Amino acid sequence: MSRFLGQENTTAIWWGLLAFLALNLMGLQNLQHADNYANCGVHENQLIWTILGFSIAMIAMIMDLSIIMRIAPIAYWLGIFILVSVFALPAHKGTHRWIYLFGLSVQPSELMKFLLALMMAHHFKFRKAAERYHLRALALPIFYTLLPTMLVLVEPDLGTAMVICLIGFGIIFFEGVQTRTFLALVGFVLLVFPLAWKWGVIRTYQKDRISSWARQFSTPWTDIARNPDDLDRQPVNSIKAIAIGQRAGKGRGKGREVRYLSELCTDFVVAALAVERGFQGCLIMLLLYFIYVTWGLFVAQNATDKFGVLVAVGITASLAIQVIMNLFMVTRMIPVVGVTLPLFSYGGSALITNMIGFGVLLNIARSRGSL
Amino acid sequence: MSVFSSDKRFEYRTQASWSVLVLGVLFSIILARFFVLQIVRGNEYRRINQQSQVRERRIVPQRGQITDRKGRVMARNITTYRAYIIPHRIKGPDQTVEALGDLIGLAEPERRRLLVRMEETRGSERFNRIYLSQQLVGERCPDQDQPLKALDDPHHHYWCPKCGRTFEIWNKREGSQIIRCTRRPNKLVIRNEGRMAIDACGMEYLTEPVCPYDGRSLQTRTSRLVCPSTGETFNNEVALIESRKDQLQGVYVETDFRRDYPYGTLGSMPVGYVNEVNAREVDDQRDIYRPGDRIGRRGVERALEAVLRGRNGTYLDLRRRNVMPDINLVHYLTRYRPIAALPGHHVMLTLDLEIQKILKGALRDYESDRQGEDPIPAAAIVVIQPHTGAILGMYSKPTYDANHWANKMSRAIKRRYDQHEHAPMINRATTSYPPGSVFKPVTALAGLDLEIIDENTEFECPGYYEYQHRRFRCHKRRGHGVMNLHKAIVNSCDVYFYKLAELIGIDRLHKYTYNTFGLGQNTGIEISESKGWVPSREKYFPRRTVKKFKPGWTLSMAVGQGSLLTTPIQIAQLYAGIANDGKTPRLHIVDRIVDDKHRVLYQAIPSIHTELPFKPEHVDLVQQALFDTVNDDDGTGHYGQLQKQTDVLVSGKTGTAEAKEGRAGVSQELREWLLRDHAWFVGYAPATRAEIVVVVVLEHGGSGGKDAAPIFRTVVETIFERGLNLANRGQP
Repeated sequence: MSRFLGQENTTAIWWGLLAFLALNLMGLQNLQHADNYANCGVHENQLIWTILGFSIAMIAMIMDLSIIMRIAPIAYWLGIFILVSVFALPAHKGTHRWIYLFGLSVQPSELMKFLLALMMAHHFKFRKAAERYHLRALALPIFYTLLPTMLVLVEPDLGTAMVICLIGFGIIFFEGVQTRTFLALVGFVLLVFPLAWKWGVIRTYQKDRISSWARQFSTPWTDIARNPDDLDRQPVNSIKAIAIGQRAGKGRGKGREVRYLSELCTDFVVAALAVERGFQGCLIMLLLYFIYVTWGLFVAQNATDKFGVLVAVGITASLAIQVIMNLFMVTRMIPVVGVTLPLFSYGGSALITNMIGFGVLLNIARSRGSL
Repeated sequence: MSVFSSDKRFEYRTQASWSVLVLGVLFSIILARFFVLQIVRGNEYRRINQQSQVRERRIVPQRGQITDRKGRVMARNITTYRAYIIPHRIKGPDQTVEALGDLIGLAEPERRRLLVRMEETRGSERFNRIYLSQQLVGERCPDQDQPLKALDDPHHHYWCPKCGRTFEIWNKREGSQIIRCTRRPNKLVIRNEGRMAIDACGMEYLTEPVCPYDGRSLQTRTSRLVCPSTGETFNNEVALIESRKDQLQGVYVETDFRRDYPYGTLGSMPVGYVNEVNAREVDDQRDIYRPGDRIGRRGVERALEAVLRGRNGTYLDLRRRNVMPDINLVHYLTRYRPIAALPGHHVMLTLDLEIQKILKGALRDYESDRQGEDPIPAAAIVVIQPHTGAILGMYSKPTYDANHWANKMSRAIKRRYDQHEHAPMINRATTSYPPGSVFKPVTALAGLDLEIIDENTEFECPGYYEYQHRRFRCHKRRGHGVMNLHKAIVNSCDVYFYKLAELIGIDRLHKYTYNTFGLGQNTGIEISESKGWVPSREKYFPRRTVKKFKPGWTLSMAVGQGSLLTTPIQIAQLYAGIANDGKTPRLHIVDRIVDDKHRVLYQAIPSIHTELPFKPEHVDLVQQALFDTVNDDDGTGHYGQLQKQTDVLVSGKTGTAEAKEGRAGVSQELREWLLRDHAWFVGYAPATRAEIVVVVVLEHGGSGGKDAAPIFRTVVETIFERGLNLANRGQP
C-alpha cells in the first residue's frame, strides 16, 4: 500500500480508472436485477445518467483546474441557494429534497457534497499554512460546513446531512488541527446531534428508527425475525437476504427474498448483490471500493497544489463515507440513515456528482494538481 | 517509506497514511460483518427462512348468539363479504380494475382510488391487501340476513359509472313497474318539470338514460336476485367474482361477520354491543386479540366476552406456491400441532322480549298533563320472577340502538348521541337513586325485629316532627293523626318512621340495611351494576368525609332519603324477598349457556341469596300493609290496582324521593325538570303468591303514586293479559 502512495507512476491512474469503471458496470447490472425484483422501473434511467455523467466527467477532466478553483466559491454559494430554494417548492411526502428542472428531479444535497469540498479547498488554499489550526482560525470552514449541514438536516435528510458534516470535518482534520481543537470539535459534533434530537429538528420517525434498531440488543433474533417493527422491517429483510446469499449467492434472478425491500433500488441495493452473488460478490465490491478510495488518497497526496490535495480528499471522503455508512446500515450495524450506495443505488444527482468527482480526480492526477 | 519529489506531497503523507489505515479498518469491519452473516450464520438464516415458507394463520370463530328466554335472537352474526386486491399478484392493473369494476359496478372514483393505491405501494407493501370500499353481496340480503330469491324476470336498471347512483327509467305514459320500493308502491313525486320522479324510498326515475348529476350516459345493470322483505334487487357479486377468477387474478373475497342486533333498541341495555378492540386491549391479550377484532362493550356482550368469543384456532398456510423440501421444514411440520377453533357459546337470557316491548310501550304511551315533547325522558322498569330470581324485563329509557355502536355510525347519528340531554348510554336499571318511601319496609322490619314497636304501637303524626331543632316534614302537611305501623305504610307517613328511626339509631339501622338486606352491595347479576350506598356513622357520604355525624340524618335515611342510594334491581330483590316470605332470590339475567351443538354448559338454578331472619308474623304484617297500600282506597298506591284483571290482586309501595339537582349550562326547561322528585313504584302480583315483581322508577318523574303507579298498572295488566307472568321457556 505504501508503495502505491509513493510512486510517481502514472500507471497508478489505471488502477483508479479501472476500479471506477468496474464499479459502474457492476452497479448497473445489479440495479437492473434489482429492478426486476422490485418493479422500480429505473435501470434505464440510470444508464442514461451514467452515459451523461461520463461525458461530464470527461469535461471535468480536461478542464483547467485553475478555473475550477476560481469558480469554487461561486459554485458553493449557488449550491446553497438551490438548497434553500427546495423549501420554496411544495413538500413531496413531507420532505423537501428535490427540485424539478426540465422535468427531471435533481437532489441538490448530493451536489452539495462536491461543492463543499471545492469550497473548503478554496478556503484553505489561501490560508497561511499554519502547522496546526486552532479553533478561531477554523471558524469560517466550520461555518461553511455547518451551513449546508443544517439546511439538509431540515429537509429532512439526516443521512446526507451527516455525510456533508463528516466531509467538511474530514477535510479540516486532514489539514491538521491542534489536539485540543480536535477534541473540542469532536465533542461538538457529538453534541450537535443529540441537541438536534431534543430540539425536534430530528423528526419522530427518525427517532423511532433508532429505537427500533436498538431492539436487537434486547430481543433474540427469532423474535425480531417473526415480528419486526414496521420501521425495522427493511434492515431485517436486508440481513435475511444478505445472509441467504451465503458464499456464492443464489444466482442470477433467484434472489426472490429481496422482493420485500421497498428501497431495493435505492438504499438497499447491496441486498440484491449479496443474494445473487454471495460473499464472493460482496468481497469484490468492497475491494473495488477500497482500491478506488486508496487511489483517490494517492492522487491527493501526489497533488502539488493545496487546492488539488483538498479537493481530491473531499471527493474521496465523500464516496468513502457514503459507502461505509450505507454498508453499515444495510447490515444493521447502525440504524437506518438513508444514505445511498454510490454508483450502485439509483439516483441521477448522486451519480452525476460521483462522475464529476471522478473527472476531477483524473484531472488532478493528470496535472498533479498544478494550476 | 516513500519517495517524493516535492515538499508539498510530503506534507500530507501522514494524514494520507492514517486515512488509508482508518478506512482499511472500517472496510475490514464491514467485510467481517458480511462474513459473519453469510458464511458463519448463512445456514441458520436459510433455515429460519425455510420455516417461514409456511405461516401459522389464525381462525377466528363465530361469536355466540344471545337470545331471550323464548329463543328470539337478540344478537347474531351476519356474514359480510369484502373484496380485496393484493397488488403483487395483479398482472395488469388497469385491465383488472376495469374488469372488476364492470362486473360488480364500481364507480369511477373508486376505480381511480384502487389504481392509485396499487401504484403507490412498494416493497413489502405490495403484499398487503387493498380492500374495496363497498361490501359485496352474496346469497343473502346484506341487512336483513335473509336468503335472496331469484327473480323470474331479471330486473334492468340504469347506473351512472361516474357517481355510482342507480336510476330507473320511467315511461311516463305507461307508469313504471316499481319492483324495488315496497313501502308505497307506485307513489311517485314528480320533479324537474316532469323529467324526473322519485318514489317513497328515494329511487329516482328518469325519462332518458342520462345522469342528472354529472350528465354521463347511464349503463344498464341487470339484477337477478331480490330480497324478499325489502324488495331491493341484487346480484350475487361473490359468485360473479369467483366465476371470473381468470380475469381477476389478484382479486380475492374475504368472508367476515358483523354483529347485528335485530331488536336494536329493545334489548340494548342488558345485551350491550361489540366494537373494535383498542391498542391496550391488544397489548394485554396478544394471544387472543389482534387489531380489527371485536370485543364486547357493556352488558352481556362484555360480561360474558370469554364465553361468547370462543377460541381461536390455528392452521398452517403455504406462503409460496412451491415449497422447497427441507429437513428442517419436515421437522417443523411433523411437530406442529394445530389448535382447533372453538365457536363461541350461545347465551340465553332470562329476558322476555315481549315484556321488553311492553315496558317500552308503557313508557312511551304514558299520557300526562305535562307539556313538552316527552313526558318521561328518563326512567327504568325492572320485572323479575321472585321465586327464581330471573330477570324477565329490564328496560331503561333513553336507550341506544346497539347496531349504531357495533358498526359505523354516521355523523348525524353520532351528533344525536353527543347532544342528547339525558345520557342514553346509562342503564338506569342498574343506576342508584334515592329510594324514598319504598325503603320504609326495611325500617319497619328493623323496628319490629328489635321489638321497639309491634303491630299496635302508635305514634302521632301532626304533619311534622321536631328533632334537634329541625323540623322534619311529613308529606302530608296536615298530618295523618294517630298511626300504627300498618296505617303508616299504607299512607306512607314519614313522621311515624322518623320517630321509629330515632329509636332504632343509625348503627342498628345501618346493620339491618347493609348486613341483613344486603343493600349497598352488588346483587350479583352478571352485568355491571352500581352498588348503591348505605350511610353509616363513620361514613355518611360516599365521597365526602364529614367531621361529625348528625343524628338527624338517621331520620332521612329511614324514609329513604339522605345519602341512601339504591338501584331498581336492588329494590326488586328486596321486595322479592318480602313477597317470598323472607327468601330473597339470587337475581340473574343469564339463563343458560349452550355450545353450538346445543349441549348445555351452564344452567342457572334458582337459589336463595339470603334468608331474611325475621319472624313470619312480622313479614306477614308488612305484606298485609303492602296489600292495603294498593287495595285500600286511602292507600297511596291505589292507582296500581289492576283494572283489566279484577281477579288479580297486587301489593306494592309508592315512593317519591326528593332529588333536586342542578346542572350547568342547560335550558330552563331542563333545569326545572331536574328539581323534581323521583317517582318510584314497586309491586308484586298476585299478592298472595307472587309471580312477578315490578319496579318502576321515573327519574325526576314526579309522584310515585300518581306518576309511577299507573305505568306499573299498565305493565302488569298487559303481562297478565298475555300470560307472560307464567314465563315459560320457549324452544332454544
